[in-house]
Amino acid sequence: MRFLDLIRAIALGILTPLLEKNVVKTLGVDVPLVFSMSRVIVLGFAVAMLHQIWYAGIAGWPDATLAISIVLALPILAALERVKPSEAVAFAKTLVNRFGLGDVRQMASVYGGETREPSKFDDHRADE
Amino acid sequence: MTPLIEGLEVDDRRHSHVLQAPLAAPRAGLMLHYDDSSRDDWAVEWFHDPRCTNGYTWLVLDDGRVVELADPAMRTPHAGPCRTPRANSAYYGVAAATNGMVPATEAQLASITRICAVVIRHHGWALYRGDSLDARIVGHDAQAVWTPAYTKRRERWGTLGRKVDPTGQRPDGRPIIDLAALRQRVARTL
Repeated sequence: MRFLDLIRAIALGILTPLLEKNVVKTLGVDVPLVFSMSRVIVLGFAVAMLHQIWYAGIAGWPDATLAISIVLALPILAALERVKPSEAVAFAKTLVNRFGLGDVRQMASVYGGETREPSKFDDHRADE
Repeated sequence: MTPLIEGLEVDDRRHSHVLQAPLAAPRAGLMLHYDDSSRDDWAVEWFHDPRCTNGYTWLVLDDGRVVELADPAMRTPHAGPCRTPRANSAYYGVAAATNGMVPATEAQLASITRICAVVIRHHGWALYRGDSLDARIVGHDAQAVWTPAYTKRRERWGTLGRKVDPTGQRPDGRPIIDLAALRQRVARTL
């Protein structure tokens, strides 16, 4: 029984960041756990971005801005629930507009498939 | 250390045992590249990383310093499948440490010119055969062909276009390394 409690505690701990924190949104649903769609989406973006950074790196400010935005997504979402939505949106817009500009060098992408730019991960050992 | 190619002065020798292998074909020329780096020190360090699966004979840094990454008598994995069979052996790999946004510096171009001239003299290619430099100094973009390992699009297999270095594809059309101009510079020094 203790073992099951431990498993349950670990599972809850892992899932906690993804659960809906707004009580009002969970009241009408008769289930023990309510996932927050926005949190699941943010997690998806974070996984995808980490995959890209790990295997292909950050090419410029647009990539960096996306990474920053993902990190700030949850605080901004939390702020949206406390302040006027227009204020939080204005803040996010200012932030993204400020840093999302600039040249980006062409580089490999783990999502782009074929890439013609050289990459440090090129494997040119086979030349037959 | 005695230079392996007479007259070729390099600033640093960092021969990697991971990247080099005996030649599988006689040398036929030099292939130019850029390595997609944004910092010289990071560029050099990468070639000593166990995950690195590419490499050049010489890497030319922003200030023109030349790093010899491999024994010039050995092949390095710089070309991959090309119009010329066994291109890793057929061509010395010479890379400017830069990326697809930043054109090679004048110091880099001067050093690459010097490397090309010394190697061509060493082999006696231009002096005794009267060969065209077009065949001796080539760009990766003019040689690299698509294969099933690089694309699933069957119609591309065997065609050029797999790589864009050393010309690059800057929006303003300025080449990272202008190969035609570089050949002229080499020809003037021979």
